[in-house]
Amino acid sequence: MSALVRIGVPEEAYAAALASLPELLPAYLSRLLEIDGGGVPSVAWHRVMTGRLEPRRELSADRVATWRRAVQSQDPREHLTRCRSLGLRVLVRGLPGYPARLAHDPAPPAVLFARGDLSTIDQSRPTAVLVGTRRCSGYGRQMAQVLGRHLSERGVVVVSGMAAGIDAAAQSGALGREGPVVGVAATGLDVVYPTSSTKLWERLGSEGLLLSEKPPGHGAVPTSFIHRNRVMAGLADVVVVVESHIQGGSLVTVDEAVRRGRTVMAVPGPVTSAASAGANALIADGCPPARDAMDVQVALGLVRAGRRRAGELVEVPPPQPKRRRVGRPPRSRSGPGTIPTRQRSAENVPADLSELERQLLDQVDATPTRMDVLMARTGLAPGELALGLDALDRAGLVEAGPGWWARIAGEAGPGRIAG
Amino acid sequence: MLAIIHSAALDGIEGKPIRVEVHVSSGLPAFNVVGQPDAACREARDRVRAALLSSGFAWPLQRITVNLAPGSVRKVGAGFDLPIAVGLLVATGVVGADCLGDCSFIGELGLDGSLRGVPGIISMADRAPTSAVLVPAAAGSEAALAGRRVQTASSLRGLVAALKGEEPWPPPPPPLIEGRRLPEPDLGEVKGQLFGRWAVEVAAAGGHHLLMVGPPGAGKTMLAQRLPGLLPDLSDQEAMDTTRVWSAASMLGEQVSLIRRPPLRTPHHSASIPSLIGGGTYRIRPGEISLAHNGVLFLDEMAEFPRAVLDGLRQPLEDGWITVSRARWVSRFPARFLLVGATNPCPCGYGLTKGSCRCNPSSRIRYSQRMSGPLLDRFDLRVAMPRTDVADLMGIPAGDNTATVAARVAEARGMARKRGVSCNACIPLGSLDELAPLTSGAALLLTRRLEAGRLNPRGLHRVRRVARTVGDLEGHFGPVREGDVAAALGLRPDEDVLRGAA
Repeated sequence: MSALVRIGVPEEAYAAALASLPELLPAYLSRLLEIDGGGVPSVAWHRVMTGRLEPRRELSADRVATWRRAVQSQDPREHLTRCRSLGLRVLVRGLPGYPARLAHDPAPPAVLFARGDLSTIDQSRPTAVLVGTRRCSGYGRQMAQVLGRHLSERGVVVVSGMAAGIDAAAQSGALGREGPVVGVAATGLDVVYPTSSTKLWERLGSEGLLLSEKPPGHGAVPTSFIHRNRVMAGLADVVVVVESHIQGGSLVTVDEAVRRGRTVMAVPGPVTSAASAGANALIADGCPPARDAMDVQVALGLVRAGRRRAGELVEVPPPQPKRRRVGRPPRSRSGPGTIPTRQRSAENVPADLSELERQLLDQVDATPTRMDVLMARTGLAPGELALGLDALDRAGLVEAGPGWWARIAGEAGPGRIAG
Repeated sequence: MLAIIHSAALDGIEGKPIRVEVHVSSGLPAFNVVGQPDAACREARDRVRAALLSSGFAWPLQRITVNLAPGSVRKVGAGFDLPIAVGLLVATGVVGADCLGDCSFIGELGLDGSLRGVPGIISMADRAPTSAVLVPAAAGSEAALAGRRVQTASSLRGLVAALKGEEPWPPPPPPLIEGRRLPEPDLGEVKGQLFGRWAVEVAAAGGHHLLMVGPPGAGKTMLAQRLPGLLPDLSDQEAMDTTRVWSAASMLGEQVSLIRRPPLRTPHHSASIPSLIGGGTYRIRPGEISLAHNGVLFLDEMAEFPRAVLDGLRQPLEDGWITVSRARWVSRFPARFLLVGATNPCPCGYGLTKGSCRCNPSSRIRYSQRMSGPLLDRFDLRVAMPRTDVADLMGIPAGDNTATVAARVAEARGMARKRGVSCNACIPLGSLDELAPLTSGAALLLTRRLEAGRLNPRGLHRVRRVARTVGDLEGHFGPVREGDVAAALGLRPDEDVLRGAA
């Protein structure tokens, strides 16, 4: 336990050890490294060990003593060994390897832990950050997946926050396509949160890139999600809010993105949907709507504005049934970002529906339609109604929810005709 | 100087014949009660002594031994006061043994010599070893339900006078077989919720257990409270069985009559296992599931019940009875009830509609795990009930009232009885093909669901029974049609669909 800086210990070891100090906010770590260490982690480490820190508001005597005790009982090399055994790289601001995107950030993470291919967050690659609520609707999940897939197919780096809901949908949609996928975690990279995303973590670690500013072993605490959102905003060229309640973490990312001058887009949703209230409010405030990947590409400068062909529609293939589309049938445009709700044109409905099923389909809205409303609207006996809905379900035209049915948006109908 | 008096004890809800042997002999004055008496039985010594003295009889200053035979049966309660007192009067020669006739005595004594009723009079009168029973006047009509000749007395002094022939017996009480009819809430009061109303109708018609999942204010409780009103009157046997349970639990109240209407029990979610299943420390008491025998057990806020309590329902749900075992005794109670559960989809209650749930995902999962899969599986009908819009509340015309729906239910139940089962939910597995044959379309629909992995074999049988009921309600008694099966499937959505969209 020497007070001297050891010879031959890499600076990354000191950075990783400092990042593991208790009661440490990202800003504290930055100031430790910048003010006390002059940009050199080993110097900062030494200053912490001796307790000679420049006075600052956050530095109560207690905290300095706590840090000092922590540092004195630790060997920085053990931190580095642990990171390496977990397959993590330690990136330190000011040292080689630190992502250029974050180098000039107003609040950059002083230390980053990474697993995977770091070239994915190269400055030259267009990067879209997809964010949204964990409590998403089927529509949000579908949109996140489709946006993730299409952006990735066009080589755009898709970044998201490793949370359940929209984040997971966007990342799983983007994985396995052209563009790389980046996950920014709020926990240490060895702490999978939520546990339902275990597979996603594994795939991202091997096929994409996982980033976190939290050291290994750091659990999920509320503040770490806020910090994570700031890092995501720093990485972004464009932030797309897929679905957000009127309050939520996504809007923190939006604030951080606005502060950094990044473009913020929002996916429009039904105005009756609480899950889309935040996204719709952003659009009302002047954010450009992201109806499909094309809109995002335009915002990224990959496609010139106004080049969308007339009559070309928002692309939202239905989530189920999993049928390949054969041809693209002509479709009319029904308004920005919305999905055609009640199209009654003959070509949109499969030919082999019975008259009763056709009439029944007319009564099912694109928004959840309660069973008792359907019973009242159709006046059918429960058996007939159930049979008709079952047929429509099998044709992929409607989806079932608890106590309601909704018409599936998109082109299941034409797909059926083509196939 | 030995006197033997016939009486009966209550064991669970069953009566057991008991011989009360009273022996009075010379020796140091003492009064002992033997033969597994509980505390209330031993207290009989003080009550009997006071009652005899207040009624103007002498107390023998001799050695008194009372044996309650057989010794293997535990005796609980104060019902042996009267036989002990009568035994003492016979043993001391106040009343001749030949005056008693072929009669059993059951009743509690007040210190003033008055006679009081005890729990379970019906069951005890039923199993009394004699042709007549003598019970306190207040319990007369209850005892008369057992079908024995009933004599009543309101005080010990009056009883002795009647036994000696000095005074006439009071007229025998009439058994109140018709039962009281309390007003039941009407289904017509429920606005909207056509689907929920229909599900309740199916539940009533087929005896299918029903789970309603919906946000607060969806009308789950209203519908559940109206379910018993749709059920037909209890048959004589059913009414007797249910009344016996209620009698044993001293729940019959003042005006005792046969329970003709299916009871509705709505235990609060703080209920303990013994209170729901049956049990107790001093006396085994039937639980709520037995009080709901032949009626409806409604568990509101079902997910708030402790999981252990809910899982305790699984065996009685299968078997129709519950065996309560304690170290010293075992009782078996009937518990064939229609289970109706109501629950919110998630802690905030709004999880049915997309995007309006305010819960975080992990608490949703914890909430949904409150009810075990096996328990959920036992609900034939699992209905998600989103809240009715305000506009619907005002606009929708009132649906059928209780009388109309009850008529349909009665017809469907009548059809089930013609098939030889009490209701379609009770169709045994082996008889499904015979009693609920499928049309080819219906079979195809079920096969498709099975192949898609959206139906398991147990669910299959339940769906077939429900489909039978759906057909019955529409007056279709032939083979089960495709539409019936589709409707039944719609009443039993996949678990993940039920557990919500968020």
